[in-house]
Amino acid sequence: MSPKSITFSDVSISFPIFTADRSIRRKILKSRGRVEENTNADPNHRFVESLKNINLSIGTGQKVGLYGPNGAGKTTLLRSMTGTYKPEKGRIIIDGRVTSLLDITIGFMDDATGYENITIQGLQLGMSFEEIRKKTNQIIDFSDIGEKIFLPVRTYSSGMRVRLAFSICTCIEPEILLLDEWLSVGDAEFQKKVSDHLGELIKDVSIVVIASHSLSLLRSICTEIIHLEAGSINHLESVRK
Amino acid sequence: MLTHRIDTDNYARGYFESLKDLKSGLSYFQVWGYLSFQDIKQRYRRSVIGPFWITISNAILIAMLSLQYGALFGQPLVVYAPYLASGMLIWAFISITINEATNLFFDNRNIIQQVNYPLSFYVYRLISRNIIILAHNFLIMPIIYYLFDITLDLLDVFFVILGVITLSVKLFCICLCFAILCTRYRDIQPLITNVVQAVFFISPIMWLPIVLENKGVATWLLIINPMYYILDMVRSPMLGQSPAVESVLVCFSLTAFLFCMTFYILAKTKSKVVYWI
Repeated sequence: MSPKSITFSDVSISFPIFTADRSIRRKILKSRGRVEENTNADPNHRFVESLKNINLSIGTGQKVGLYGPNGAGKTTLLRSMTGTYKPEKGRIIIDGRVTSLLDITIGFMDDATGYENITIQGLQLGMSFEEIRKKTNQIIDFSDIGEKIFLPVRTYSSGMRVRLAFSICTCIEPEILLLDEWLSVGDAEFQKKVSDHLGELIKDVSIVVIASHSLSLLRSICTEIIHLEAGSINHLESVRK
Repeated sequence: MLTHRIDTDNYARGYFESLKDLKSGLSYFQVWGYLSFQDIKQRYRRSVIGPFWITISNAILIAMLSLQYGALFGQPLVVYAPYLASGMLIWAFISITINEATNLFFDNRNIIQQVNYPLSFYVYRLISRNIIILAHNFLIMPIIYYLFDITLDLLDVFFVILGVITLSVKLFCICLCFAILCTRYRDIQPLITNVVQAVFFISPIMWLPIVLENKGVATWLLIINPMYYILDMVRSPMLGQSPAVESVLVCFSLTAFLFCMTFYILAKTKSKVVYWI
């Protein structure tokens, strides 16, 4: 297996703010010189800096935790690892197949059966039909849903939904796996199941990046923890096992 | 399967980026094909008649309107009913597709923010879903053909297919542009909804162009309305007539123009859309 890596060099990501000025009217009026207030602070050029000058390099075998308060940039950093954000400044290089489980219940169709939803969600997560076909039985076993897999997802309890979603996501065999806060949702029993399986799941994954509020969870899983603060890397913590 | 190497410095730029987006979107045809099929199934999951409700509700509307409006425009039923039926189903295809496009990226924000699919992927899914609905609506036509004794030859069928394909390409371009613009400027969506509604009334869908012969400004308005030619291109062969030469010319040049415009807008905005959601 070729080495996998994530490299960020001097990456900054900022989001434009469009408030009520997010309208074409203002632009038209302005171009004719009729709006005079706010001429210095052009509302179309205000930004929120979400990530500032991030430099990092993650290699094969590393399990990295992202820790920080709300708004520190954890989610943006994770999303940018999927390649969806083209940074205005800096460069992102990712080698390996990325699977992001940032929101695990995306695209569930309520009236479709659990069985159909395996395909629906698998496709939306970037799996091919063939992979899904191969994994279907494994997913059903793992989710513990049994015969109910042939009933509409609408009839599932929220716990069952999460279990199904989680099982689909974890059977993909990713090379690079991105996980977000949702690890801390669900009841105690499910949490235990997640943390039990998480170890199993990420055993074969080359690179894992997890964002969480819980330092203890991160310390138990990760090899490194990146402490983020206000969009920058505050410090790096190595976890000794 | 998604790309295995991502390098933001190597992202195609400008027009190459548009080309790459459209091409790789197309390569996921199995995925968006399956998902649009599921979209339809989802809508009618608990209904006995299922997707054929689309057909039935259209048939009811067309039957009602034919009886009354035919008289209103002084047209015999045998002319008016097939005309209205074909016009309505083409129009339903156009208007529903465009209206759905205005919220497209916003509705799919969860996927867009975590899976690196090309933007065109979502538009392909939208168009293919609506083509499936159009196919259901087409089932009215055999009844009409039977009732009013219309026969199609092979050339007509060829023209219908050609017409639907060029129409779909045009809609694809329009939807992609609108989806991008509506993501950036939230005021455009209500504007589009209104314009689409107005276009319905100023285009020859419920009325025949004949009623506007030699009516000055009104005639002139009809002649510059691209929808007139777009409708004629698909509708005439559906009624067993050949489309007017100018309709074919207008449709093809419009398709080429829209395609270039889409290429341009996509090149300008591709990397920014995800920031706007």
